[in-house]
Amino acid sequence: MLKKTFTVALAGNPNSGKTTIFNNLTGSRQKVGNWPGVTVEKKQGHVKQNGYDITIVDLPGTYSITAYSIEEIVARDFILDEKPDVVVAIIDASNLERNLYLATQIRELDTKVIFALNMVDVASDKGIKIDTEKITELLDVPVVKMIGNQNEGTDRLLKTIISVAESKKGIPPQSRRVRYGPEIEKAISKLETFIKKKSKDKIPYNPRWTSIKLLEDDRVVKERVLNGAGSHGTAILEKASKGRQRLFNLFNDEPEIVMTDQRYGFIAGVIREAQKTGPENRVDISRNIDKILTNRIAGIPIFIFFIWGMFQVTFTLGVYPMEWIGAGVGWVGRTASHLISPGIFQDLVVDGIISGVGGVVVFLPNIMILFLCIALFEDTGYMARAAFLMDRVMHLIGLHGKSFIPMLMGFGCNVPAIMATRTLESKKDRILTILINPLMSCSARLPVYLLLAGTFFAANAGNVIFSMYLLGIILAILIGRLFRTIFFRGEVAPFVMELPPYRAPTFKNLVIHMWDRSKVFLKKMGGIILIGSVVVWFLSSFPQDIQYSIQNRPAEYETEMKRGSETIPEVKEAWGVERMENSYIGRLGKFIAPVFAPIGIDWRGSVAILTGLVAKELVISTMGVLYAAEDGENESEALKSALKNSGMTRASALSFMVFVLIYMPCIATISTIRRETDSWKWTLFSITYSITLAWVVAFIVYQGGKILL
Amino acid sequence: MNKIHQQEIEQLQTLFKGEGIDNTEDRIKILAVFLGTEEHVTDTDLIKLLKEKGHDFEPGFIKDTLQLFTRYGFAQETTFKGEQPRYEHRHLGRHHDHLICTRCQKIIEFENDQLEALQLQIASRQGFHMLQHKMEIYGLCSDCINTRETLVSLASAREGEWVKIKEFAGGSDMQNRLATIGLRSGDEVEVMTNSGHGPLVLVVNCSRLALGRGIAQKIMVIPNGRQRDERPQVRLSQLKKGQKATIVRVTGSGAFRRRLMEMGFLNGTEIAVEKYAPLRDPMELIVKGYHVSLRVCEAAQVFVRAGSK
Repeated sequence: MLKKTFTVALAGNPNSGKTTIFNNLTGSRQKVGNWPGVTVEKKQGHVKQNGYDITIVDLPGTYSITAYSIEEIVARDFILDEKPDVVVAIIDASNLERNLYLATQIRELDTKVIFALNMVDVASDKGIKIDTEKITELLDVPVVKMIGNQNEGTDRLLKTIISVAESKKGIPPQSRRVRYGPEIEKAISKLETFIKKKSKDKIPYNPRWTSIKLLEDDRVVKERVLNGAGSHGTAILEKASKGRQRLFNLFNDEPEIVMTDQRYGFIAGVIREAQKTGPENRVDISRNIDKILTNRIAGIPIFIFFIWGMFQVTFTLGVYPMEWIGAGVGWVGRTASHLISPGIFQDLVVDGIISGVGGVVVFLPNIMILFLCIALFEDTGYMARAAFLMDRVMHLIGLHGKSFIPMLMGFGCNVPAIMATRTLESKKDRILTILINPLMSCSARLPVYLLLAGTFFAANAGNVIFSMYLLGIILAILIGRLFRTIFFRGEVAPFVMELPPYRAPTFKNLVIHMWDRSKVFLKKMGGIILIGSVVVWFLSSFPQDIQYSIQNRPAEYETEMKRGSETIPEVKEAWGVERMENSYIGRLGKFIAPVFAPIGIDWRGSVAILTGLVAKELVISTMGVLYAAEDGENESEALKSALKNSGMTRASALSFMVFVLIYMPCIATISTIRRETDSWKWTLFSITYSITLAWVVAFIVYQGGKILL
Repeated sequence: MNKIHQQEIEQLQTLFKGEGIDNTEDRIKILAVFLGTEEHVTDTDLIKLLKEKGHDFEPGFIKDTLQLFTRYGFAQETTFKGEQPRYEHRHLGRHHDHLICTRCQKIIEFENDQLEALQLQIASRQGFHMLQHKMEIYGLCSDCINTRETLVSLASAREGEWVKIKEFAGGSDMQNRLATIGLRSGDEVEVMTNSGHGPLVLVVNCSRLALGRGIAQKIMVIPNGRQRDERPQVRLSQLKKGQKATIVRVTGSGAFRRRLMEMGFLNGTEIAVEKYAPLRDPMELIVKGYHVSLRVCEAAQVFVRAGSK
């Protein structure tokens, strides 16, 4: 037998168990990426069966395939343009009516369709009996019964897929399509004839479908008709808009609404024939769980407890593997220094590449644990409840309730937090959440506050640190509202969110879910972070030919350096300062120092801030070098006194903290923003706005502080 | 009454004999039967009636006689809207008016002195000399109103009325055609718009259907007594936890309405408020057997009738 390949697309409502079926079909042979040009996740996998190599594409979960959301357009375009050999419409049997809405829409497209009736066990528990043969008879599609989370029916589905893909029958006749009322049918067929006459084959889609979409005022189809049929396109659109107007006058309502209505009418007919509802023979467990989890009094405390638990697990439990990885990276670094002879190349490998990338790889345990928790929340159905509980709060910023978790995670680390925005469906919500996320003060900024607040506000250190966090939250609210009105004006996505029944997650799904996202982190982060680390390393290590002002026993020093001397710490330290001062980054720091002057930060602070771009933890270590704190037992105490003696005031310390809180996120976060927004524009915007905002707020704090403190 | 009838018969006898009209005896027999009925009869009715009474006259003779009665003022010919001429007694010096039922064709006579006086008054005010007049009031008689169980055409149903489809006057061909668009005998239908001309819009199984007036006239329905839903119409956001309602309409922007409709928020769908979130926003609803959440401000755009059906 010849080896054959074909493509299958999975479509279905959110919560219809689509992903589970996808995982059952493909196992771990899957690839997660983005749909080109948009931030919607694309999943693709392979199955090999009976000599066939089947590519399976998981389309985004939608309730419909109109042109209202990006997910819907992506799903529809894939079916229309990529022409998969078979489309499997996954239907939640316990919610047949609403699920059939999408399924019949897919049936209207010119493609081979299979209905996969999922969760038949849940349906029969609810007393719903479905006559699949009747559905096949009424709609002329093969129907396969499945129980996704028990891996039942997967083989049957595969067999049906192969037989449908292989069948020469072609696309089943559209005789059993949705029939709209006589007036609408008249309008459709009129437009259809007109299209057929005017544009022979210039519009790639079925003329009936095109007519329906034009009458529904579908903007994507309108655009394609214009592009495809040229001058005739305008005529067609004009004809369509006349037809719309006529229908509008007749029904006194928008045709798309009337057609939605009639499509549901058609479905009601199918349901009447094919579904029988008996008495429900189970207690609605889900509803009982919800009585506690979304309880008026207990709901929010329980939610906070869960979030606290997630935070703890991610950032406390995660510390141990982080240490191991850190130790591993250190070992690799040391091994590399042994293997490579000292010199610029060694510096590059050890200080640049290994420590740069290592600093990011260290986050892997955090990310894996976090995504395991999020997968648990999502797969059980709790995520929807979290959004339900928190929507009121997030709505203040013009965000969706689901944004709460990413925002909160930001206090730990912005990298996983921004990746967690993947749970948001609306692109606008995602970008807005990503933009304000860095205002959530991540844990790497805490050492800076601890040092400065401890040094300058000894007794009130706690309050100062707390107010830093509070400032971040307040700014997030203000900026969120501002951006919502400037960039994302127009309608806020309606909060029509299904609260799916609670389901026990399967281990396989959880692991796949977690690993998919962690893999993305590892792979894609590598590139940008590698480059970023090398650049910063270069800036801080060059130029090398510095004329040190202290020429103390140079010859001796040289030889001692080669032996790894520790005898002349003063010289080493002084040289360290000078090297930093004269490196490109140091020069850059001095060059931009005038900009920092109005906010009370000297050139040393500027350099520390610049190095903080790699990772905010570096701010402190750079300060350690620049303020020439003596190495020793009590390094931090020494740095404190050095800072006090450096002319830094309470006002400038406060201003410095504020600046560190707000200014541009670290390279890891930036590359995450770049990846998640899929746009350099938003990434650059995020950098610019945060720096500007940081300067302005720090200026106010410093100038105000000078007067008050 | 008989006294009057006797008088009339005698008058006719003298009059017809004086005029030299033939077959006076037979014509008197016809007059007796004509006077014996209180109905407004057509000529065919009278022919039938005479046959029942055992008289055997030529239909032409009867028609001719009725014409004579009319000419000599014994009968009054009235032609009601779109019907054959009907005949009734004409008693001298007495005038009555008619109430005509358009459904069962029943005619009710009435006399009203005030009305007569008013008519004269109206005429004289215009300087009009009145010779004769008729007054015909069309409508439904009390029997027909009480037993509106009888079939009416869909075209005559009022806006907002619920009717049940009983039969199709257009035969099985039309019945099949209508069945394919979802109109079957026994279906309950709400008449959404019926302006009296042009197509009607119906709601069948939660979906709208426009129907030409011609077809609507051939669909026979009975009112099912489910008149306009009188439950108060409120916003969904005004409902309390645990309350049930029926969706009347979804307002708001096109995208919002469509999204909701796609999720199953259709006119006539039952909806229940499961709970409000702890911070009073959003709210959790049950529609078509699944749970969905909606912000309170969005729920305010959905109008419902509170309480279960």
